[in-house]
Amino acid sequence: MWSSGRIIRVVIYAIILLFLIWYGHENNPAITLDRCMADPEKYDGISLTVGNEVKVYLVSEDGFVIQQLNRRMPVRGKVKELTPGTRVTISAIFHKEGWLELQDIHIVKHREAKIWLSIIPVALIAFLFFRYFRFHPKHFQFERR
Amino acid sequence: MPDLITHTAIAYAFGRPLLSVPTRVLFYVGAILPDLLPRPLYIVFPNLYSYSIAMHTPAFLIILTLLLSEFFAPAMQKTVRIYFILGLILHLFLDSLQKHLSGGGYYWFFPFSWSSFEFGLWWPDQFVIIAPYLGAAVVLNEIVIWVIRKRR
Repeated sequence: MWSSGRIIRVVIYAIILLFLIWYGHENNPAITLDRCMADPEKYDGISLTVGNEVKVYLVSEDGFVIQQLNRRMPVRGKVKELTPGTRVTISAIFHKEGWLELQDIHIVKHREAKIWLSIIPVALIAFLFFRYFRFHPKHFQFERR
Repeated sequence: MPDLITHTAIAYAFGRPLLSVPTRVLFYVGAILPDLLPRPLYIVFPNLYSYSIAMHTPAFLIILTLLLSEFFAPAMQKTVRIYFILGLILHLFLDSLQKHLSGGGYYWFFPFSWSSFEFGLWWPDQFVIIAPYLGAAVVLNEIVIWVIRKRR
């Protein structure tokens, strides 16, 4: 059985972790497209980086349209090699009329490969872990085999 | 972030010659721990990205290590903490070698400061190119060790 001190420590750590998650969500100073679109006048002319789940939706003569989750946003600035579906991170200036002026772009490659490749070591380490440690249900803790 | 094959292979390069097997396994867990919570969260639920920000910071990871170590037998807790933390230091160091478009990097002093830092040497996607070679090197090394042991 766990001592009361151990239970209290677990509760305290869990509370701190939840607080940090909440604090990171509430206070992150990064300027996002959501923030810009919520108050376009305030963020007009401001520089931002858009990179979380951003794909090229279509390519036009003077630029392209990006899609981030359910939002689409035109970007002015010519880039070679762009095709619809390409994952990108862009640095751009926000304009209150609802478009972005491209400053810099990085074409994200191999993202799917990175995700799938990362499953292999997780599985291997999990296998090794459970080979050398076992969970003792009665003590509710891992112990050496 | 580099992919987890790169993180694991580099942890292996340090852990294999220096640590006993169970300790090495704890070190490997620490080396992938910083990506185990936030990456699946925002890959599966991209709109929850902002909730994952804290999860890749030293402060969060140290507290998480303290929490996880409570779920080990008391005699092992100190070892678990040491090797988880060594693993996550290696992970965060490798991540800090990357560059991002914003020139940002990771929030080393979160929650006390939002200042960020990275060395900016490689794009995150460049690591994927070397990952298969690193993975193959690990497998090859294990085969060589196995063959040498069998011959003795």
